[in-house]
Amino acid sequence: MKSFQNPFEYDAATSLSPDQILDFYIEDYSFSRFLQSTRNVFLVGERGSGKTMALLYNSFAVQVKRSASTATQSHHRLGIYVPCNTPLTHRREYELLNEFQSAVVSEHFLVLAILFSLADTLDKIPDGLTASEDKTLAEHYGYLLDTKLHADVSFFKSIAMFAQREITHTQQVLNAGTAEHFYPKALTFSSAIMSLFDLIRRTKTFSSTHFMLLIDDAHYLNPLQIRALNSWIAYRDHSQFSFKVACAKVEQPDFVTATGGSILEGHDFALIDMEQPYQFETSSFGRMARQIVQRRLDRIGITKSPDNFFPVSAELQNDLEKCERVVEERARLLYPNGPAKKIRDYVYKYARVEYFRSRSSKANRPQYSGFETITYLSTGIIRNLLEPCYWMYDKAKSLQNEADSTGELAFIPPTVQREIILQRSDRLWETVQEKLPKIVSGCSQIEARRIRNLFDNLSTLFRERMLRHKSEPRANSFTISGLTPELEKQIFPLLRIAMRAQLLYVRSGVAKDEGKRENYYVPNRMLWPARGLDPQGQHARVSLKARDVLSAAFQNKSFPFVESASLIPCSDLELFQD
Amino acid sequence: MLAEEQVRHAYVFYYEEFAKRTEKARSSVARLCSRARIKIEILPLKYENPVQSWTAARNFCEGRRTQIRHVLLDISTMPRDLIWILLSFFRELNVHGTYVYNMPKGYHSKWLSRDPGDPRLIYKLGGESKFGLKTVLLVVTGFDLERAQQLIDFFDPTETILAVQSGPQYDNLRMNASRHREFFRGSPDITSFDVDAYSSDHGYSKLQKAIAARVGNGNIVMASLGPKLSAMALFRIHMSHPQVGLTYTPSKDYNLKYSHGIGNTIRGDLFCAPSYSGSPLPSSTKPLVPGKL
Repeated sequence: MKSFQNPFEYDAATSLSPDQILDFYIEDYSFSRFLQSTRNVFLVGERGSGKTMALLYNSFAVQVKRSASTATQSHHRLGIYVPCNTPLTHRREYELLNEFQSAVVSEHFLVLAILFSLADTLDKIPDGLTASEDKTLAEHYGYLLDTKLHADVSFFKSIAMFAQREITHTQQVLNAGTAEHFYPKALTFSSAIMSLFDLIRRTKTFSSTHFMLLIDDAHYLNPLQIRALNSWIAYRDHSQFSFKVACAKVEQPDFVTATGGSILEGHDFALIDMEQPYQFETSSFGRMARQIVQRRLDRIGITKSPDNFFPVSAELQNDLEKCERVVEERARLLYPNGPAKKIRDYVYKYARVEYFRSRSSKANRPQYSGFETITYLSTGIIRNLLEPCYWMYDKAKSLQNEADSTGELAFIPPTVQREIILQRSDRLWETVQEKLPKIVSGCSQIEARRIRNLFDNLSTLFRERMLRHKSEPRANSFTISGLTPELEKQIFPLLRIAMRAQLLYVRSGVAKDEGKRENYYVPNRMLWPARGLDPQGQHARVSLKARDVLSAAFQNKSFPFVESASLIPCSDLELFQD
Repeated sequence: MLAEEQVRHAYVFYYEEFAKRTEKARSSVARLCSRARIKIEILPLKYENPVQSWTAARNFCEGRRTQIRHVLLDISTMPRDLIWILLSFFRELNVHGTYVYNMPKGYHSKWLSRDPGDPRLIYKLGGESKFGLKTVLLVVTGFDLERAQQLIDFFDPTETILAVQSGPQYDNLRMNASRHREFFRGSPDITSFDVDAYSSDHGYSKLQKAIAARVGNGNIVMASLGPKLSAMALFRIHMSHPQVGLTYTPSKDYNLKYSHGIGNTIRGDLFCAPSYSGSPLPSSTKPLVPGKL
């Protein structure tokens, strides 16, 4: 197990031990109970949104530890974790074969991966099978697969060994010689997995077990494997098994089955967006963020709350309070008869704006600090939350060690918070300015330049709005109106690249017209401190015309700014739905 | 070299996508061959269609296996995936020969290639991975550290080994070694060691040692982003450990002024360690001594 000196270390979930996953994972506000249902579920989100953690938490290895601690051991639900980002998934020999053979070989690889994970997991259950069950199952399953399973080991161990032998043999066949080779003894889901479920459900231990096949990083599967997986998801009977599939949002696989049909959200599966749209204190993400950080502080014996460990700078606090008083006075003049709620809303909307507007143009960038700001900066992505905390802790600890290496770190000084926030923000702009073609495959120099133009112009627009817009100065997300197929063809590839680089996130919200839903785009809020903008504020979206987006990206033209431009305020309803 | 090696047939591969850019070079080779009475065949490949390229290379090798007694493979401007594919076919078809690499006098100071696509395991050279093992990535680093980062992001390995090219050639210490060390410093799952692709074994023994220690404990994938000669060393490792895979990241754009001039020439046996024994090589083809460029 790794030793975690910095409580905010954000290692990949697959590198964590089951104990660490139990320690770190927050069940509330993370859809975990939803995953424990028998439904097929797709979890979508970009890197760091918690997909793998959610799957691993539901895997047998973690759940058995959990039930040991809560003394409620049962095999009613068993999570089988199947990683897809392995060199086996990245093999491409199927491309050399004809359509039928490609599909067969592709399914064979995925089936063997599931079979191995299933057998390897079940083998870890002590006394899962009686001696007689073990022997009978080995005979029956060996007969079904037309193979002789290893007799000197347990049934499940023998299946795991069989899967290893098969995958090695398959690769040797595919690698051999100069010709394109097919593997004629390929397994299918029904021949290898469903038949195994049938057999093991006849045993005492697993008679009522529901197997949750936790397929991680499904976007790495090849298109034929995706189609095979969709076909299995289309099975109506969920009593024996269900799939929980985690995949990236931008490269989300399609929902077409092997026979050309399709699976439907709501009918065949539920879809969970792991990127949470709101980050204010009482939102789901806001609450979860507090719990995540609190738990990590608890682990190193710090009893302070996240807000006290990451305090707001006294200077900023003072300035904000002053601004609140100024704005409140203004509100009372505007609404002499109240009601109080109207005045409160006005203060909420304009107090922070007043702070940014009243700052001298020559002033240094603001004292970005406080846990609430850090939560907003995450834009709803857990890794984005932990990353600045990690660097802040590291810096503060180094400074403290210089003064007194034995003392404990009581809090992160706001100066350190600000320094790290600005550093991370500058670094993200470096990505916008120079790195896109190097970090996003398929991004050309021209596309990178257009994305740079787009983000530069967006930041100028948001700054203009913050300084001068009358009704909704704190908007920092946008929708695109007036899209035509031709404009989509030019704009969407840029947005997709920005999303892959995690510069931009797409969310779904209530549209202005007739309560329909529409996509809106939220730039990574970590971009804003470098430009002196306020990362807080998300209750309105700017409606940008597609033609203007195109001009901003292609010709580096500023967005037209109108002091009371059309806006789509998030309805109270939508906020409460969160 | 053509006369020295008594070349009878010349086969020139080119990618259709870059046909215009390479037209001049192909014409020069054709004129050169014509003057030396060498038969020449120009073979098109499709850069963006790996299946077509692989099939064309295979058909070429199989179709000429009886005609080729000895092959002289010039890898100087050949992408690494094609080098590995050709080597694998020559090996399967028992074709022996020599590789030759003409070092440039220098590289473009700003950029060499850009717009990389997703990394791809090479057909039939992807190794023999097992279930339940960690992924180990070995990268021979080059001038572009984001390329190494891209491979790490794609394969998400549990362990990454950076084989950092040593020596001061082509401003390597500033452009490669120190930048990689600084960039990946403190990453707990990334280790590095020095390697010299311009040494007599192209870094094979050091790379082999690192791989041999991990075979069986991980699914290993290797990539060459550094000097092209390291691709020869990696192929030799793949020959001795077929479990280990080779991967390549295609780029959509190459700098027309990628390199300039021709420096020293290095050659060796296709499937053995470079051998400089036997007939003495002209001074320009002697193996390079590290740090003496």
